[in-house]
Amino acid sequence: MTEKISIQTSASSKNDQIAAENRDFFKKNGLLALNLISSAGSGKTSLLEAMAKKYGKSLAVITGDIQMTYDADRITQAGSLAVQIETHGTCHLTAAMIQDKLKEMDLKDVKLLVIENIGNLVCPSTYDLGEKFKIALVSTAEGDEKPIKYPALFLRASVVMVTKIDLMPYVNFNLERVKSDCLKLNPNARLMTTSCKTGEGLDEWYGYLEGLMA
Amino acid sequence: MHEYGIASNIADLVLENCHGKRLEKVNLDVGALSGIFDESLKMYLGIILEDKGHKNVELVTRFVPAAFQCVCGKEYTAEKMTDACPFCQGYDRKITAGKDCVVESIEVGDD
Repeated sequence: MTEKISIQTSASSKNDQIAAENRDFFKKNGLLALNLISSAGSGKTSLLEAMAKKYGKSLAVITGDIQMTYDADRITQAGSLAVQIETHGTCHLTAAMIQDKLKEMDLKDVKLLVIENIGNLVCPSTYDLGEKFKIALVSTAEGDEKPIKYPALFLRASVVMVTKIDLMPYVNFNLERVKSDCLKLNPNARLMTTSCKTGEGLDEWYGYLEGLMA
Repeated sequence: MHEYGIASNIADLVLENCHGKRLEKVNLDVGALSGIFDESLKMYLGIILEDKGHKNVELVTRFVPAAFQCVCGKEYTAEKMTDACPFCQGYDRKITAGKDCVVESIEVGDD
């Protein structure tokens, strides 16, 4: 005889539960935690290097890659605590991976924790890690159609940062199109433009972060 | 490829609930905005369940369209997240359905 058993549980319930534990941990430890997501090569690590030079030991970074510790090395060199997760193939970070890393980090001077996700516009966007909000980066060199082609991320990101803005004169990138597409996906998203090469826009980003940490 | 991790969670959920009985069917609701490719999810889930001793389990996915509650007060469903509200042409809205993948139910039998 066949028996039907109702379950009605989200497939991400396990991850969501650990994400809630992480969120609780961040709150208890007075940390502002952010989840940084973009394509590979759009400037996540460059932004974090700039932030490490500004914030030093009050910033900590958990950075994810398929392999190698280059990103953590760059951020450590720039002055902040950085630990690397090597996923060996997994295309996104999970709440459990973050929880494991938090155990080995000395966070007593840290106010701001940035999780640098795997370079990927698809998979990382649906995994809650316990962060306060998601930041999406799009570099001018990638093209202006990214938000509309990969809506899952831009629907969820509270901040959209257009990076490498200094390259605008050399690439076909319509900033107005990006703004209009992003606002369709999330009318409450905050849009910023930056260049880590020239420093343009970074003060606005720091001001925004400091407003949240105050 | 992130469907593998999701399938693995679903397998855990399903096996916790089947209490040692023979698993016959898994019913899944896959939201339009969940970022999940249903065929890929079923492929991985089938492999994982078989590996755990449950062969020939019927895996059924039901598509759940995206539903929105617009600030204009109207509710609507849409195929794409970039579709404007058909009533006011605006985009300021909350997602009310279609964001998740939900394990709806399972069917188990006696051996």
